[in-house]
Amino acid sequence: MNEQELVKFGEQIKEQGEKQGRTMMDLVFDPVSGDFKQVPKGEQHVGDIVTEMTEKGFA
Amino acid sequence: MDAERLKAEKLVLEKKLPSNAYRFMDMDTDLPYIAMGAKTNRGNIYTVRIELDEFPNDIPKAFVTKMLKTKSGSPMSGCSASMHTLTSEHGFTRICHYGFDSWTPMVSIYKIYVKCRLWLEMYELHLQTGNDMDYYLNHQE
Repeated sequence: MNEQELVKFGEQIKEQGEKQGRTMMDLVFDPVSGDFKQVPKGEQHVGDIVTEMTEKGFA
Repeated sequence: MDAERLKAEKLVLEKKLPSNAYRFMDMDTDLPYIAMGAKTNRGNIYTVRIELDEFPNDIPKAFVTKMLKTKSGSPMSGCSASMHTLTSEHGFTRICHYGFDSWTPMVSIYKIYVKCRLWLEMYELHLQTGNDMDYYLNHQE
C-alpha cells in the first residue's frame, strides 16, 4: 500500500467501527505475509477475517 | 497457564505463524512471556511482548518493546484513552487491547497478537495523519 492507500485503509477501519457490521468490506489479516487488507464481504481471500476487532474496539 | 492450554496455544501459533516469528521466553519463571515479531503494512518491524503470568485467567499485559513516541514527539508512557495505552513498564509502551468486560479466558495469544498488530498499523497512521488512535479504533463498551 502507498501512503494514500494506507489513509484510505484507516478510514475503512474507522467506518467499520462506526457502522458495526453494516459495511460491505471485511478486515482480513494474512498471518503468512503479516499484512492487513480489506476485502469485499463474501469474496475468497487468504487469511483470517478480523473485522470484529474494529467493531468491538479496544479498551 | 497449564500445560494443556500451553499446548493448545502452541498448536494455533504453529498453524498460523512462521516458527521464527515468535518465541516463548522465561517459561519456568514468575514472569513468562512470548516475544512476537510484527511487520506493519509499511514494512516496519516491531517486537510485541505478551506477558503470560496470569494468562488466560486475567488480561495479559502487552507491550511494544520500545518507548514509542506520538507524532508530536511525546513518549507513549502513560495511560491514554485516546491512544489506547496503559502506563508503561520496563520502558516499553503498553497497549490497551482488551478491557475487563470483553476479556474471557477463551481469547488466544494469536488473537491478542493480531489486535496488537492492528494497533501498530493505526499507530503508524497516527504518525502519518496526526489523528489520535481512537479516531480509527473504537472504545469497547
